Amino acid sequence: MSSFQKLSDSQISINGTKVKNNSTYISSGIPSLDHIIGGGLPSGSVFIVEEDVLGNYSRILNKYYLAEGIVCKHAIFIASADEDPQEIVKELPQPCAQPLEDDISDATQRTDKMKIAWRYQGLNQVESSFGCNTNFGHHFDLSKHIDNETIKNSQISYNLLESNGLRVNGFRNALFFNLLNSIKEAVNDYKSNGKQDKNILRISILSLGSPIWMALDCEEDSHEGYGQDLIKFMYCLRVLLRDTSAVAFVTIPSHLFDDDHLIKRLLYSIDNAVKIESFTGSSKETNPVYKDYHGLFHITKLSAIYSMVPYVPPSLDLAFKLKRKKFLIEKLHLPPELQETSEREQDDITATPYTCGGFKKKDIDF
Amino acid sequence: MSSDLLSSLRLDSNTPNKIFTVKEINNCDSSFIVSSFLSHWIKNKNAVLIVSTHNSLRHYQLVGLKMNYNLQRCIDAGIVIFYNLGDNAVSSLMRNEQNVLKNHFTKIKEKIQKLQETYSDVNIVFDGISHLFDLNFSLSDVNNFCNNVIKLSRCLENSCVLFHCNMSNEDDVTYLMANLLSHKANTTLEVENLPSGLSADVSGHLVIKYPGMKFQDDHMFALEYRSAKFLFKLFDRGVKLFAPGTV
Repeated sequence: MSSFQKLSDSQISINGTKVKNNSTYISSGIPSLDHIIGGGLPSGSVFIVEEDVLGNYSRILNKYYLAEGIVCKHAIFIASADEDPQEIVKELPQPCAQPLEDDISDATQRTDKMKIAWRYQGLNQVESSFGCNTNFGHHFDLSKHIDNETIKNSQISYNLLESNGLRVNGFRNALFFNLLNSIKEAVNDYKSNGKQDKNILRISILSLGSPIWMALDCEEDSHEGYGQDLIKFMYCLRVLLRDTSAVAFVTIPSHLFDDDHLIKRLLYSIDNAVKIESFTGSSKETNPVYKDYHGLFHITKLSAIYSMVPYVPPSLDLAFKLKRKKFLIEKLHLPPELQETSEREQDDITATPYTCGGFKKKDIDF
Repeated sequence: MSSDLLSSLRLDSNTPNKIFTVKEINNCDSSFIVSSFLSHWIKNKNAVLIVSTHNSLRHYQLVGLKMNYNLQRCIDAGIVIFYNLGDNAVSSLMRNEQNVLKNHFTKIKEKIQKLQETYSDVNIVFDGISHLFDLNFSLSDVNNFCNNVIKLSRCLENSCVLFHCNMSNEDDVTYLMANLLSHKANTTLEVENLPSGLSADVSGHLVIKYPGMKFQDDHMFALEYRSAKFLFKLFDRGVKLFAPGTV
């Protein structure tokens, strides 16, 4: 590395990237997610999603991430021990060709704009949904799938991890070692062929640390080293990807872990982390406060790469809803109290003071 | 812009062999402390050995450029040596070799001796002690390693050692290690994110304690040593400290 650094033109010209703070950013495939984590996923970083209990929404997030990679013609590396990566790829959503209905209605609203009171005109517009006005990233239609031909023509490497009974020095569970080796090869291949400046490598690891991984980790009677391999893997992944043009998107079923101690240790090696809390099957599903949303979205960690100042998101009270053509993360608002309950009517009657003419028919004597 | 921090740490005072321990609480990133120290040492033309497991050289270089010093130029000039312990350890792990902390210590010793040939005072920064536990080293290994680094620094005149330790949980080995290092330190810095969330005005809490004061004549008979509590706000060019309650 020389002390003088010129911003190379090649960095800017990579499809589907933008340069910010000396780092190349790629989109996660969800513009509102990009917005709340500081503009996207920086290259050379590890991003984790703590899965919801059923894993439905984290799977959708992963599909968006992969689909964005295919649209931007990035190289893709998919690994999973739970299901065949080739099956995952068959269900990737197609990008929306036409502007979304919300955008069209916004445009019509703008033409015949209503006049508002002068004292409110100067105030900033309250923005509860994020990433609507950005050109970075795409929206995808979950009902349509990307055709096989496009997928065949994309650079995708599949890794279905199966235990081969090999013993390695560093890890008790050889699956972690095998996966690290494959990632290392993919990254080195990129570096040696000079592709690093021309393209991005998107790494996706689905359900890392699921029972399939952990069952091999707990062969011995003692419970002492539980999760140690996972912690080591995450640190090695951080070191392997640092200063490269690869980005790792990892989903972890953290609700299955014995204690939260493990995820806290993992967070030190991770750059950005979010957690999905789905309402499906929980008591919050019927709560009227959350009726507009499908779940809550928590930001667990945001770190600054190549900078001292970490990004501060607009809010930490976030909720998400899944539409056919959009995964939307919004600031959580309480719904307006519009329904009149019978109790309230009763309260109103009793509260009416007699002195102000509030009398009832039965009170009239004549 | 980091003068607030450096003056609170009394780096300019003439007490030799200072050991600083930084405890990172609640996922707080304290790399700004390393960058502030580096800016001070580079300005004073002191030699530095950076042993890093957490951040890369590129990170410190790019942060340094914003803070008005060029780390890479100092490395080229031989005044700073960057030893990427994490990279080396992971490479040997991937080669399926035994990872021994002693080998890394030998390399560190060699690098310090190399710096000593030209410079009288050599400072040592160790970024990310907690990652050694991620690599499956035992508490006694890591503790011995840190002790050896401290012993090594005692042979050097006017040198400082800065340890960074992330604390993940109270019943965790990283917490124990941070406390062991604090016990050995002259000054400890506790850096914590705001527990209630994130703010655009304040980045976090900083508590500076001076356990080393007990060896000074003025404080020989004091039982409790006053700690300094600050709020800090990070900027691209440095860090600003202010007392709680003020902005």
